[in-house]
Amino acid sequence: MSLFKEFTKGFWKENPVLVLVLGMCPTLATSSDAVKGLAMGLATTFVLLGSNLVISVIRKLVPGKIRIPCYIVVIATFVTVVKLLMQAYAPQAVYQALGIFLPLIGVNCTVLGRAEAFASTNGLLASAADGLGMGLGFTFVLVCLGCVREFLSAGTLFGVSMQCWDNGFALMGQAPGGFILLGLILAGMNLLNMHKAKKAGLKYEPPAEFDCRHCSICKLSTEEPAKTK
Amino acid sequence: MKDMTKASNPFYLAFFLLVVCGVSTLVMAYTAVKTEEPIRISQAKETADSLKMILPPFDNDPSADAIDLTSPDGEPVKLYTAKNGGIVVGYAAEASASGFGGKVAGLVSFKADGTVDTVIVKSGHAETPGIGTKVTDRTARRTITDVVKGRKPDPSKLPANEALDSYSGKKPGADKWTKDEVHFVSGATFSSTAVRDLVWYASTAVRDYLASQAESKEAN
Repeated sequence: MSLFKEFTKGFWKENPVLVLVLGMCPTLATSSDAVKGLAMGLATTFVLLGSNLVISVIRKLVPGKIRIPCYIVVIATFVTVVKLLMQAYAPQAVYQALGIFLPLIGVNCTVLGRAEAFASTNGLLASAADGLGMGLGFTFVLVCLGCVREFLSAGTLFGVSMQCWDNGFALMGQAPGGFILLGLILAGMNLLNMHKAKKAGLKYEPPAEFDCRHCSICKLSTEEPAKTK
Repeated sequence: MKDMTKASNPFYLAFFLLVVCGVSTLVMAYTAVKTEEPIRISQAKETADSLKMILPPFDNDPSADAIDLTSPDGEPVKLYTAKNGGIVVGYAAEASASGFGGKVAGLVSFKADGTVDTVIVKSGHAETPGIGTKVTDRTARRTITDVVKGRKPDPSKLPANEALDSYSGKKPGADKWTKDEVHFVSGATFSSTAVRDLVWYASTAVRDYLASQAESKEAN
């Protein structure tokens, strides 16, 4: 696949939230407003890009049996670095609003998932494109969800009052509202895909590689990862 | 025979992990050292900005001689004294109490006689948006018209908040203020109680501090 395709697949075709449905905890918790979603998305992008790069470099050195602990250590390092940098240079309000979810990027399935499924078997540039694309795709979804939730719950976008909605739909500001909205978006995406397939005279089935049973982490104890390309 | 190649030798695996952890520790330690000063500056700036907002003009550095107090309820309170030309113009006390989404921390400013002047809740709390934040937030809401017309909010003016402003001019009595004495937002009882408690901790601590100051003056 070309580098450009590796980069763009994170936005729609293999979007970490909408298609792979990974990283639900930060998605629901930090998309209650657009600014928080943007900050969380960018912090995750930094970690994804950094960890993908390093893991891609050391992939041939790491023994298969201890690859997951090694990847986790690399990811945790980047998370600590981004946390310290945000504490020092980001506005205090944004840093404090993300709170516990910032260190929790370390256990975000999107990050470990990309390390295991992509960076551990691909070269430096492809891994960088994948990490950046996935991160920006994650950011894109978080900002979109944040905009809708912020508008419905507070009538504002990025903290600016839109002066046309003042109903205070408080449920949307909380995690259950996020779940409901995300469910509606996922249903809409499936509907779109089914419609496309029907037009082409086919029956829509989700790609097999996105199925949980095909996740290589589940095969950890039984076999080694696929050989390096 | 047992397979003892490099990739399955437990000592080699342990050694490899040790090296990875060592490198990671070095990277984290380097970042921690490099960001220590910027973090301190950023936190000091936040406190200084908040103090400037709620206190009358002062010419000393209240953060430099802040005192740690304990309220009669046993809660920690940090006291900042604002002076102008050597005369005390006001106090500010930092306290926290449990809200709906964890700790709510606030800064309460007092006039020189110990009456509550202004209350602000520090950012970063996790109160429910739209409900609990009605009690805690003093954010200047810019509207889309302001943005289009290029109007900027006046940073020296503190936006009003009915719940927080209801404490202005109050002095602590024998018991905590009730729902009738201060403004409780309906539907946000936890957040309202948290704000009431933190103002109570701060004001009782300041009251006791001022009393002890007056006593020591008399003794002299």
